[in-house]
Amino acid sequence: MSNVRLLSSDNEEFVVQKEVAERSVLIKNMLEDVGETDSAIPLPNVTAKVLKKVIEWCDHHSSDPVTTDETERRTTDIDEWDQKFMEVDQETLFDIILAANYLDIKPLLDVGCKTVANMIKGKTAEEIRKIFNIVNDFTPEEEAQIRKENEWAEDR
Amino acid sequence: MAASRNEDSLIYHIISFLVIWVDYVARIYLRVKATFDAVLYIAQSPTQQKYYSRRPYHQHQQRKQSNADLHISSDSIHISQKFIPSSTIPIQSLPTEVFQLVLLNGTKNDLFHCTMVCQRWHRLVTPLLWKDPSLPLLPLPVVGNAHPSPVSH
Repeated sequence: MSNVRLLSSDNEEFVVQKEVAERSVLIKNMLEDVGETDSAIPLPNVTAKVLKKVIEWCDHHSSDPVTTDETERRTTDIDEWDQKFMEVDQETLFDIILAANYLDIKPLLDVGCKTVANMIKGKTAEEIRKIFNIVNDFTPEEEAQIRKENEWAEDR
Repeated sequence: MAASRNEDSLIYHIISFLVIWVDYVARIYLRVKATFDAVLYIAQSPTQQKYYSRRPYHQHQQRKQSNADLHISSDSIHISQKFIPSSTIPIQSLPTEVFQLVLLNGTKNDLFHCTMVCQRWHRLVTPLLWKDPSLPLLPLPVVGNAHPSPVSH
């Protein structure tokens, strides 16, 4: 099993098995294009801290079958290991999502998106603002107007 | 007869001369106006912020900028400071397509509450909410025994 060297944006090098690195479609395509190479693959959008997490996830899921069915991927719940894995501060969580998007690791992106969606689930606008530290930039009139326009979608 | 024809052609010449001049002046006016409009548009468009935010890298080339220019750049610094808080909020760092991917996992009721969180969310969530009355992950409405479909009989 050959290894691949990955270089984070802050110049830290990680050596991972090719099979693990290829969970990233971006890296997989790169390796296919470049062929056998000894030089490290630079990942200028990912810091070492985040890359370490991503590699940990890829390592754990390296033998997962690739699910191509969109709806199946979307509807399956997050497994226990992934839930534990995603128990990080918000900054890291969103950095992982951004990295998964950049590296094109769809299952990891799904897990991240579902984790955030679970944080929003069943919450009111005010609760959501509190969770994510978002400032309400509406006037009370605007907010009332939006509520009125969309109230058909509210569960009652 | 010849005199009147001469007169005719003289009038014709004068008229065509005037028309050409009016046309010429109108063209120049339009071009100048368009140039001014373009300059005003570029000066007022938000891209000026990007331009000035890149200034530090080639400031040495721009030392001779006038005071008016400095005034604009301090303005844009003011703007960027105003916006820094929202960009340091982790969830607001997600690009639009990823943010919408997150919300595809929510129910209609979740999206309803999301539209009222802030201006950005309202802009991004409203189209998702209105796009499709039955979002992909909504539990299918139970077509119960109360309304049996005619096919099943």
